Amino acid sequence: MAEIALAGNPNTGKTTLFNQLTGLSAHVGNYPGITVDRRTGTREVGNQSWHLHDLPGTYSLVASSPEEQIAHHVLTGQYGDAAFDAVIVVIDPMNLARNLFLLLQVAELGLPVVAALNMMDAAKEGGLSLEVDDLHHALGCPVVPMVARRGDGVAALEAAVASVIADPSRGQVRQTAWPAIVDRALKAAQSIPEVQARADGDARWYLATRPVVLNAERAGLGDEVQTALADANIDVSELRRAMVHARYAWLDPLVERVTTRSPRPPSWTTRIDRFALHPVAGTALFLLVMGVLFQAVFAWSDPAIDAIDGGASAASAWIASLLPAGLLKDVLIDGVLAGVAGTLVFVPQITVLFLGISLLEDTGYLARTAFLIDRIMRMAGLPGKSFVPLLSSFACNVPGVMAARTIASPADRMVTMLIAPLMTCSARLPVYAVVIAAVFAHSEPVFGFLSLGGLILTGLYLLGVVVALLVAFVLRRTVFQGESAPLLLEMPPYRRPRTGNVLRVVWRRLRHFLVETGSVIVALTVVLWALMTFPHSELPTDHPAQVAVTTTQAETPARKTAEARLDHAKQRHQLEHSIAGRMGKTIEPAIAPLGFDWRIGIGLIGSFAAREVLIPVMGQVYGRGAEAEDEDAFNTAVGDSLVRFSGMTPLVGLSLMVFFAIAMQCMSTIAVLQRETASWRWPIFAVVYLNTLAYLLSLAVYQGGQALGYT
Amino acid sequence: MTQARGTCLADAPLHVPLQVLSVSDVGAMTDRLVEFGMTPGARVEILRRAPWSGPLLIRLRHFVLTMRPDAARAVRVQAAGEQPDG
Repeated sequence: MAEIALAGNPNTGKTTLFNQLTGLSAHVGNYPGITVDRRTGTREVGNQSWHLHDLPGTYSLVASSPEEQIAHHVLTGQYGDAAFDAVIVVIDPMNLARNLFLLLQVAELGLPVVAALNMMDAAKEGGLSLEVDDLHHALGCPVVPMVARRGDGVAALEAAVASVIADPSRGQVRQTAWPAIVDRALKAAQSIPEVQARADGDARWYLATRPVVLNAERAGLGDEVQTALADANIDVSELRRAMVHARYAWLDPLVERVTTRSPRPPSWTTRIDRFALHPVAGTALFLLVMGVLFQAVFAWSDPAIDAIDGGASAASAWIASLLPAGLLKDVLIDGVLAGVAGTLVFVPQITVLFLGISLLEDTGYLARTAFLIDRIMRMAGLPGKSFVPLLSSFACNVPGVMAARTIASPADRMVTMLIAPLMTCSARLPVYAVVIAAVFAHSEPVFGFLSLGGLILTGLYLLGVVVALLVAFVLRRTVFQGESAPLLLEMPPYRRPRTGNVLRVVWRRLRHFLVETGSVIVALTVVLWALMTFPHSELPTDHPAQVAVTTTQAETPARKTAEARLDHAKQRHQLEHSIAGRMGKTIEPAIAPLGFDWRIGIGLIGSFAAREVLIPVMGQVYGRGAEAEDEDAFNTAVGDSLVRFSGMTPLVGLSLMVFFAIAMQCMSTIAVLQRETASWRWPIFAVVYLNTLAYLLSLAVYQGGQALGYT
Repeated sequence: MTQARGTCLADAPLHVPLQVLSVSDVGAMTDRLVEFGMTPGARVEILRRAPWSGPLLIRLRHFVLTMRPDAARAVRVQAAGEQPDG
C-alpha cells in the first residue's frame, strides 16, 4: 500500500480534493492526546491501493498552533506513520508564492512532492494566467492544474502521483539557494552523530525536522544542534529568518516569470468587504447574523427537542411495560435510558449551531467576525474567535464548549471552554422562573414601571458575563500565561458554501458527541440515579399516606387520590433516605449560611444532572405534584413549598439564583469538557472553581443582605 | 540601522501602495508574518483600520489579512516604487 499525504494552506480546497479522492472510504479518527480530526481514506489505482492522509491546513511547517504541529509531526513520522511515498501539496494559484513556500518546506524534509494547482477556474476569473509547464520545469516536481470541486484534473493528478511513487526522484524539488548562514549551519550540523550516520551525510533534513522545537522554545533546538550552532557562532533566530527569506528570494522571481495578472475590476469579495467590514454597516450586519444564529439555536431547535423528549418518554413507557418491576427496570429506565435521552436532547441545538458555524466558515464570513469583534474581545484578553462559542453558550453550554474547536491557540481555546459555563444557558431559566414567581412576583415595580423579576433576570445574565470576563482575566495571568494568540488571519475570498462539506462537518461533530460524550453522560446519569436510589428504604406502614389508602374504599376517586399521594410519599421517603438525601442533610451546616436548608441541599445534589432538574427534584423532596394538573400548576406548587417548608424569602431566592448563575450544575457540560480537553483535569478544575465561586457569591449575597437588614 | 528607515506599518496611510523594508524579530508573531510573505520588497496596502485602535485589514501580495496594530509596529514600510535611501 502506498502512503500519500495531502498538505496545503487553509482555503485551498484541500479537503474537497481529499473527499474527491477517497469518496466514501474516508475515516475520521483522532491524533493521540489532542482533539484534532485525523482524516484518512483509501483509493484504488490500477492494482495499487493508496492510503491517503488529509493533514490539517497550514501555512508553514514551523508550527504556531497545534494543528500545524500535527502536519509537521505526521510528515516527519512522529506519529509512527510509515514514510510517505508522495505528498500532494494543494496550491491556490492566486497566492502562488505563499503556497509554494509550504511546498519547499515539505520538499526539504526529503519527501517527494506533487503540486496540485487547485481552483484554476477562480484564478482565471481573477485575471491570472499561468505557464504551468514553466512552473514544472522551474520546480522540478510534477505540477497538475485542476478544479477539485468539479473533479477536473483528478486523473492527471493520479497519473502524476503514480509516476512519483514509481520513481521518487521525479518528486524532487530543485534546491533553494541558501545564504551563507544556512551553509554554515549545515556544516556545523555535520558534527552531529545522527547526521553522520546518514549515508548522504546531508544535514538539511536534520535542520528541517527541528523547526517545531525552534519555534516553540524560540531557542532550543535539541542540545547537540544547539551546541553545534553555538560553537559555529550562529544566531538561531537569524538562521530561521534567513531560511524564510531564502525561500522567498528563490520563489519570487520564479512566480514573476510564470504568472501574468491582467487588471480586473474589484472582485466580489472586495466589494462585499467594503460593506461587511465597515465599522457601522459591518457591525450591524454582524449583529444581525449573530442574532439569527442565536435565535436559531435558542428557539428554532425547540420543536425537535420537544419531539425527542416525547419520544424518550414513550420509549421508557414502552420498555417499562415489557419489564417486571425491580432494580433492573429502574436502572434501565431512570439510569441508562434517562442518560441516552439526556444526550439526545442536545442533538437539535448541536446540529443547528454547527450548521450555522460551518456555513459561516465555508462562506468565509467567520474570519470576518474575528476582525469585527477583536477590539472588544481583546479587552477581556480573548481572541475574536471565542465570540461564537460564548454566544452559543447562552443557548446551551454544551454546543458552546464544542464550538471552541474553531480557536487555534490551545490556551485561548481552554480559557474559552472554562468560562463558557458562566454564560446563562436556557436550562437556568426554569429555575429562575420558579424562584422569581415564588418570592418576587408581588414586588412593587421599580421606578413604577420596571418589573423587579425582569430586572433580576437581566442582572443574572450580566453577573455571568462579568464573572466570566474576570475569570478569563485571572486565568490569562495565572494558569494560561502569555499573550493571547496574535490575530493574524487570512480573509479568504467569499465562496458559495459547499453542501457536502457543511453536512460532513455537522455529521462529524454529531457523531463524536453521541458516541464519545454520550457515553460519559449515560455513566454519570447512572451514578446520580444510584445516589438517589440507594440504600433502599420502605415507607413505614403507619405512615398517614399508607393509612389513608387502606382506609378509603377501593375504586373511588378518593382512593385514587390517596394512592397518588402514597406514591409521592414513597418517592419522598426514598429520596430523603438515599445517599443523596443524606448528603443533603450532611451539607446543611455548610449551606445554611447561604440561606439553604437540607431540602434545597438535596435539590442542589439532584440538579447536578442538569440545572432544570432542580424543579422536579424539589417536587419530589416536598412530595408535591400529586394534585398538579399541568407544568404551570406543578411549578407553582414547588414554588409555594419552597416558601412554606424551606423558608424561602426574597433574599434566599436571590442567593439560590446567584448560586445557579455561577455553579457548574450540569454533568453534560462536564462530559463535553472531558471529551474536548481529553482529560479529567479541566472538567474537575471547572467544577471546583465554579462551585467555589458560586458558594462565595451566594454567601456574600445572603450574609450581606442580612447585614443590611433585608430578608 | 534599518529600523530608522521608512515608516511603521501601524502608522502608514490608508489605500497607498507600500513596500516592506524590514520586519523586526519580536516573537513568534513576526515569524509568522514573514512566512506569510511579509519579506523585504513585498507589496502591502492598508485597506481598513478598525476604530479604537482595533485590527488592521491589509492586502499583502495578493491576499488580505488582518492583524493587530502591535504586530504592524514590527514592520517598516515605504511608498512603493520609492528608492530606499542609503
